[in-house]
Amino acid sequence: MLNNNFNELVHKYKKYRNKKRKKVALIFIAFFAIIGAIFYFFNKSSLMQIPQENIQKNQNVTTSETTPAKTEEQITQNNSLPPITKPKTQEPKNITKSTPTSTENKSAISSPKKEQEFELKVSSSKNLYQLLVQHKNDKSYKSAIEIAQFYYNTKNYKKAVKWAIEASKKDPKQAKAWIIYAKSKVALGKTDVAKKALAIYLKHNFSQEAQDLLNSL
Amino acid sequence: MNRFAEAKELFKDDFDLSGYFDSLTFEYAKKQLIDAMQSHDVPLVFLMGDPGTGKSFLLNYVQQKVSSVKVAKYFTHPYFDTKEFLETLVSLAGKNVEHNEYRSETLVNTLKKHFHDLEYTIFIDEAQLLTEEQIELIRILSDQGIFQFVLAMHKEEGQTILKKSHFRSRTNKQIFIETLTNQEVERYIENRLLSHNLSDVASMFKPSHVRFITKYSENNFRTTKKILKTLFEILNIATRENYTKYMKINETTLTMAVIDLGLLDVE
Repeated sequence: MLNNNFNELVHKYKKYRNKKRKKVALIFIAFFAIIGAIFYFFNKSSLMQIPQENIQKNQNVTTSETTPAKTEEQITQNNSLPPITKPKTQEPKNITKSTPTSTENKSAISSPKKEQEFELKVSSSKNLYQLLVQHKNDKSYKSAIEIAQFYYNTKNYKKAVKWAIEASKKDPKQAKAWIIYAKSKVALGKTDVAKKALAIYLKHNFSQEAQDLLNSL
Repeated sequence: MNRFAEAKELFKDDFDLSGYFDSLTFEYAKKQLIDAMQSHDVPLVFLMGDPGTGKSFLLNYVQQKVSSVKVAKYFTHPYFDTKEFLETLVSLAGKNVEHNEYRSETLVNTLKKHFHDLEYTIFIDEAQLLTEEQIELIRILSDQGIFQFVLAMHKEEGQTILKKSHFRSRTNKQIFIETLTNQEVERYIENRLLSHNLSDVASMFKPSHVRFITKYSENNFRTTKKILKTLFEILNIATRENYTKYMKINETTLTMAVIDLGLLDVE
């Protein structure tokens, strides 16, 4: 003879089984929540380190990559972004940089034109290698600015500066290159350089975005 | 009657001596007890163990099966007063004692004439319930070599009683019966079923099932038997009512058995 009626016993068993399953499910959820939290905080702290470290050095950093823009006249003469010394690159070796032609470098001082709005769409499916190969093939402003944007998005500000300069050489009138340049310089702790660059660009060109950025600095 | 109904009958909680199982702890305790009884020089033997380990079974077994020792009387419980106790013992000698002639000293002297040199043994079960008066009487009878006493008691209470002045300074023997090992539980189930031609039922048990049983029984013999009996009752009902889901030995039916016994709290 059982102490409980059979059906009652089955009911009690099911109750126990459901309770046990809930407990196991809770343990799994808690486990994955902890893993997720650790992953999130780890990622956050590692990404925050790069710009913060650079900003702390903003006072006395001398550029090895770029020569500082000494005077406005010097910059105005070239009417382009300040020249840079050849930086070390991490690009694939088979890709060579093209040196811009003089005609490409010069841009006539003309009446301010509305910049052509250039919608940058760096496809998420394109990786860096694809962009660099594309630039090697076409050597265009478009591919250069995509690379600059890629580096900016991935917080590689030094490379973003370099490629923004490359893009501006291809088409100095385009504001985007100057904007990426200025934002990268700010991230690297060189706000003054950023302001000067934007001011120079806006002297000869019109861009609301560039103006807003300069106003915010 | 289906196989499970037959199997259920094998695990009743009784003193059926056909259910004898030669676990290591039981065999060792049995040997020590028989040796102490045969030696006639140990007036007091304390047989200790947790409830359900087989103390009462051992006393029953020795009383009924071991012819080389003399058990005068087996008290299954200590619920007697001094007078009743002495009258019972005196009646063993064959003498009829009248109620109004009772005097303890006279009764003790009568017992002395008939019983001596610890030739006969008295078993008292559940001895942890003995009163001080009873303990004193036992001391007198054992000190005078009239009877050897085997007191079966729970381990915990036994340790406390042993510290009493009545026993501390006297020669005694302590015998312990412990719980079964996991392998012994498995062997017990197998042997019990096979010896009654239930090999098909025995083959249903897997090592994981035995582990489950030992977990909830804590290797206690009585609890193990209860779990098995309840399990087979569940399987018997399921077979009879054609509840196919519950006709096998598995974690479900084992869990139902321990729930029914109150060994697992569902709330």
